[in-house]
Amino acid sequence: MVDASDRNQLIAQMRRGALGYCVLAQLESGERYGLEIVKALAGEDGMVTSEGTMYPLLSRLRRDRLVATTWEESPSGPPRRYYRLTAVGATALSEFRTEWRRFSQAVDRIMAGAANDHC
Amino acid sequence: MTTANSDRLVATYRRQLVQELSSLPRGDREEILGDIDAHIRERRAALPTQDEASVHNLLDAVGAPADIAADARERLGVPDGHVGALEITALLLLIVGAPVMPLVAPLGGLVCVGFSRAWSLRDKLIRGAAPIAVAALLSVVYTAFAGLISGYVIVAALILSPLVSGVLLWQRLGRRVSGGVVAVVAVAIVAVSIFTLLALGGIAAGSISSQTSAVSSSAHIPVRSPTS
Repeated sequence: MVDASDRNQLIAQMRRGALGYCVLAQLESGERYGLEIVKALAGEDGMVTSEGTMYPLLSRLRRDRLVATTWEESPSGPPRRYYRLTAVGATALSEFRTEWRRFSQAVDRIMAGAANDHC
Repeated sequence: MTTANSDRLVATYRRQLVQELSSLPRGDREEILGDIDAHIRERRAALPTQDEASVHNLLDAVGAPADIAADARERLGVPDGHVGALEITALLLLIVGAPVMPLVAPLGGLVCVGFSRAWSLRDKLIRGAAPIAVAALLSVVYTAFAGLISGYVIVAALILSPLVSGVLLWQRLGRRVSGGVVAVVAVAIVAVSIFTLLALGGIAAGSISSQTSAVSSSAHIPVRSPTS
């Protein structure tokens, strides 16, 4: 079907596409600053391969008005840029969540079924 | 001592990052740089020791500057600035084409620029089309108001403005244009300048010489045709 490099590329693209929504999900409970988001996602296996790439993503989300930012004083060091979910972002997130559930459940069912047939 | 070396590591990393991000629009570039600066600063403050190995690990986790830049270009939809035959043709037509073929070469150059994916739409308009459009407009306005056609104005509009466009577009590609290409373009510019000076010298020397050359060249024409 596909060789290993195609498969890796597919996984990388899926991860890359889902990462933006993972960031939005991180902001559902309230505003956070860049490093907080990075730390939260880096804890999940394989979600963040290079921390620096999170910032172009945050930039993009802001440009698309899915998040909004404000500067706030930090208890230590210079002010931090905080990100929060906008109404547009919340809608995008809930739509993605529905689609993702359908997709992942369907794939899970098919994979499980295939495994059972095989046994 | 180790802190100074660690500072140097971070400074080197940052310099590479600035260079790699150079193709992004300034606003995006400064935002991303500022965010990554803050990220590194806070990560470093949390390190138990400031030794070089810890800072190396920290920077590895932040990621290779080239990877971050490639990711940023993809996320933000910035052209990758790849320079191929189309871009070189565009620059040659704009920079050295104008004196040889006024109007035709610069317009061809602009068409190439339009088709290229190395420049953003903004650069194509502001750096590519705008200088030529402004020069053309000014020369029309000047001619209309002064009521006479000035040679200087025409030279500026026809030859200098495409040159300005070409150089501005070229500058945008920055170091992606290899040294060999730069050398070829430089030689071409010098050759065309000499050609132009000789041509101007020929015109200044009077019309007789050009008439004789026209006669001599026309005299050559029938030589081939009877045999074929």
